[in-house]
Amino acid sequence: MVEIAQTNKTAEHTADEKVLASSLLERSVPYDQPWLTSLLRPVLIAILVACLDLVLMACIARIEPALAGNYVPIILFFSIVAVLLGCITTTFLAQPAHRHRRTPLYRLAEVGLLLAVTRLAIWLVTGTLPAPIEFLVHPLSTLFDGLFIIGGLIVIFSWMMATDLTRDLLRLALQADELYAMQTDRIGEMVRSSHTDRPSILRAVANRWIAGGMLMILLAASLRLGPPTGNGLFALVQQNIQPSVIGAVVIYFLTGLLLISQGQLALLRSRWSIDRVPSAKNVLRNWPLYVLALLLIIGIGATLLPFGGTFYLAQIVGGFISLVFNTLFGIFQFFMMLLMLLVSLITGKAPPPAPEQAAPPPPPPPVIDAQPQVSHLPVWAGGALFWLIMALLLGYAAYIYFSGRGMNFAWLKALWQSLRERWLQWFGAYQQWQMTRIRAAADRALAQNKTGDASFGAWRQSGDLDANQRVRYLYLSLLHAAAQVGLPRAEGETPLQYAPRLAKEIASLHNDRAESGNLDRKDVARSERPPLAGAENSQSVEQTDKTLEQTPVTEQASQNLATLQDVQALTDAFIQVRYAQIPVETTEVSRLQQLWEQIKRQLSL
Amino acid sequence: MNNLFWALLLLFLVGVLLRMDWVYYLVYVIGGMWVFSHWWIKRSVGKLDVQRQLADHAFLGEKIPVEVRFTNRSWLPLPWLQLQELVPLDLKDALDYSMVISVGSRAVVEHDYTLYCKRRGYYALGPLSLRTGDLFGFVDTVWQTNQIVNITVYPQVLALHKLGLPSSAPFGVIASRQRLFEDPARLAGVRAYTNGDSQRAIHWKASAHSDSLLVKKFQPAIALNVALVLDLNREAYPHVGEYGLSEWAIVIAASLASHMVQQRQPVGLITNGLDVLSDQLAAALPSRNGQGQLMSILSLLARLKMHVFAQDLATWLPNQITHLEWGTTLIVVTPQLDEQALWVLHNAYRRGSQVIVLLCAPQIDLEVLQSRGKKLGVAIYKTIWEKDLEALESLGTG
Repeated sequence: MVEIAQTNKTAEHTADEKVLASSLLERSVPYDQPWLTSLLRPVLIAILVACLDLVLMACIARIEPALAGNYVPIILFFSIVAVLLGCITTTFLAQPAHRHRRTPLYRLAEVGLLLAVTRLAIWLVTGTLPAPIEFLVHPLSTLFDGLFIIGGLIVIFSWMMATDLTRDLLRLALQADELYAMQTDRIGEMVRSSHTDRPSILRAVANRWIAGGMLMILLAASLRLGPPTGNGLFALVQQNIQPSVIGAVVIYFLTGLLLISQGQLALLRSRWSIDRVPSAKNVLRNWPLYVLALLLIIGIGATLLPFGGTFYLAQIVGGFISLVFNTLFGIFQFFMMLLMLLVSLITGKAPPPAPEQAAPPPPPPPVIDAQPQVSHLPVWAGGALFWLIMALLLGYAAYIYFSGRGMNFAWLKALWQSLRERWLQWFGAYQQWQMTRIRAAADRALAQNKTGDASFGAWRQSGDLDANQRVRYLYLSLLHAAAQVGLPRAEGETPLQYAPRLAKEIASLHNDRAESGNLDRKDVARSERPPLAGAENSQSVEQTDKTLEQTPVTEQASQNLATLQDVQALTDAFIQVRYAQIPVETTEVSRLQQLWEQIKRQLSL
Repeated sequence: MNNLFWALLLLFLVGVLLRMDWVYYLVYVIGGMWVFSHWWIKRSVGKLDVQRQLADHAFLGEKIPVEVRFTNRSWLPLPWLQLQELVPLDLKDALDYSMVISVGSRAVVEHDYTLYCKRRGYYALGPLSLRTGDLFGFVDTVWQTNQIVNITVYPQVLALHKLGLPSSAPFGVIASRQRLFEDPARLAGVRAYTNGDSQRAIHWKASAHSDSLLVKKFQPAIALNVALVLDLNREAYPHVGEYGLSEWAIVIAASLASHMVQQRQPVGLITNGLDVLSDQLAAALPSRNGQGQLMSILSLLARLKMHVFAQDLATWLPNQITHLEWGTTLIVVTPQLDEQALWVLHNAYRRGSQVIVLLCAPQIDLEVLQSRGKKLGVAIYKTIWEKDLEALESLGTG
């Protein structure tokens, strides 16, 4: 009894020591709590694997529609449970305090429990719970029926995938030895190195994600009911496939991107921690926000892009593959025929008859015509946009990829430079030709202006001139009219030099005409005046002449000033349009038109 | 993450061959994310301005606050930006000058740190290494800013009484009756204005006439310029402790220069040390007075480096002091003085200079040398560590 008591005491003591050691271990050995206890990671893994399971189950339901009732949902449910369990237990076992539980037996028990519950659930859901005697008579066939094997495999697959992903992502966390070195090595005398190749771990996760995605796409392809019904905008909802499958694939890829982003954050965080680089709080705080924002923007933007227009390309690619296949098959047939001939020659037997032609394949299902969509865009617009976007996207992606591999695209740059130079050369020649043509036209116009000016008249008659052209037209009309009355602009005379001279000339011309007009008016006044006698008559004549002379002097001055102002205004407007390139208002053009009319009247045109 | 490119191509081919148009959505999303990440980082890096603000000079023992300002001119944020400042060891105030920050869209982020000037010198701060990347690990960009800031840490300046030099000569002019260095009553001509000239010496009429600043030259009554000669020839220093002794020599020269300027005496510097700025023999600074001259001398002293010089003091010095004015006080700071150098200094004494030698390293038969120097008109003092200074201080005060 004493021995038993002592043994018990020893056992209790050992247990206490274990608990104490465990608690001490937890307290003394540091580990990356923020990463290990993060909820986001297991949730993302669960979503990822659940999406994969959903597509798998959709395939199973397609192959065996009878299972689509309760079986598929329950397997899906247990798959998700298996994923969560795998994530949780793997994280739990990664804690230093629980290392002693990290044994194959523990994991086996976990899988066994999952399978047992799945087995029970399948029996209950499908209503095939066997009688107890069946367990004794046919134990294997009772336990391991087809439904359980398929369901169990899917559950185990989900659990394994979740476990592997979680384990890899946990390896991205700061390891205990790294944290210990960071805590104790305050002045950096220890070598700052990590034995964990985190980038390769993240690459492995990404590869697994891509492989899973490809598998899902291929499975989804087998689920297709028919060709898509729409190739335009929002074509994602017009695909002839179960929306849940498309949704699962899309969510799988988006979730994978989120997971990779989290892995990248863990990688950076560990690198900074090992290198003792302090990081600002907002780096970690803003990270998920940036990722979500980016995914949302690109995800929503992608839904607005066209998806179609690849039918002909598919035909071309298919034709090419068929050609390659037929060629290879023909070569193979040829060699086989030679071999047969050789065998027949050796054995002396006639070669076996050629197999009968296989039955022709069934005709392809009729292509369902897409419903015509009412659109204002041409039918080829969506396809053109699609190809443009694809070319840009894939081209730039290829450029990035090959640039990263050390390719400098010197030949492409040289080609581009050569094409650019050639274009500039051609364009320069064209510009030179244009300049020559314009100069020649201008010279011709000048010559015609000197001789008789036909082209200006043609231009003058064109009615659809804008405000600036009208201003230039009015000024050129002024020049033309002035030249016609013998007041042309001199060679090398600027418009501003010409304006006061022209105004003065017009005024003098006008005065001359007015004086001659006065004389005429005097004669008329004299003739109209009633005949008076003697001195009265002579006095009256003088008064009339004075009145007639004094009145035009003041009028002439104001008229001269007005002419100068008119010519100056027209010249200023022309300079503004021609040389300063400042546009004029339409109302201003009307005013200039009135001024021009006044000047024209003075020129007696 | 370069596998993503092949995945993208594969997705595209699957979409084309199987006529599954919805796969293009994945091509858009994944390809868009990949391409956009590259474009984003490339653009953000191009739109990031980095400015470093700090004082480019400091005295020994001072701390220099540095502010690095990151201005993101783009609407796209930089999720993380790791910066690594390359700080010389003698300016380090922290173990590492690294940090990870996040720069928002059109935001300005400031990062502050301090430098501790532990040793005089001329240091290059930078370049600033920067590293950034996207949110998925597609892009990782490392680049450096070209801004390298040169920081001058002036040598330690001691109060003169710590040097313990007697107050009769050469600094006795301040207390003596010989106050006039140049006689303003005897104009000798004009010369071009140079930095450090007093404004009172400017000949305004002549300046106005020639349209350039001209300064009056007076005939010297008694020239009391001080020329410091600093010997930084490595061959002259004992092999043990040569670095500490050369630094001490520089401290002595800096302290003397500071004292002269405080006393408003013109002071110049002649040295055979290497100027790290030009990587050549340091150019002599002619005697001037004023704070500007002091800063010039201290800056030069900060940049000086001991090196192996082919000529010893007796060979090099005569050419350097031929142009000195009559009556100039010549203070030679050197680790050792031999017979030839003593005779060179005696010649300077005979040309009218007052000659003082400050020995900054142990010298064999110092008493004999001092007595010979006294006979030849060369005052020789021992200025090696603190206790010698204290001894000299008591001598000076006594």
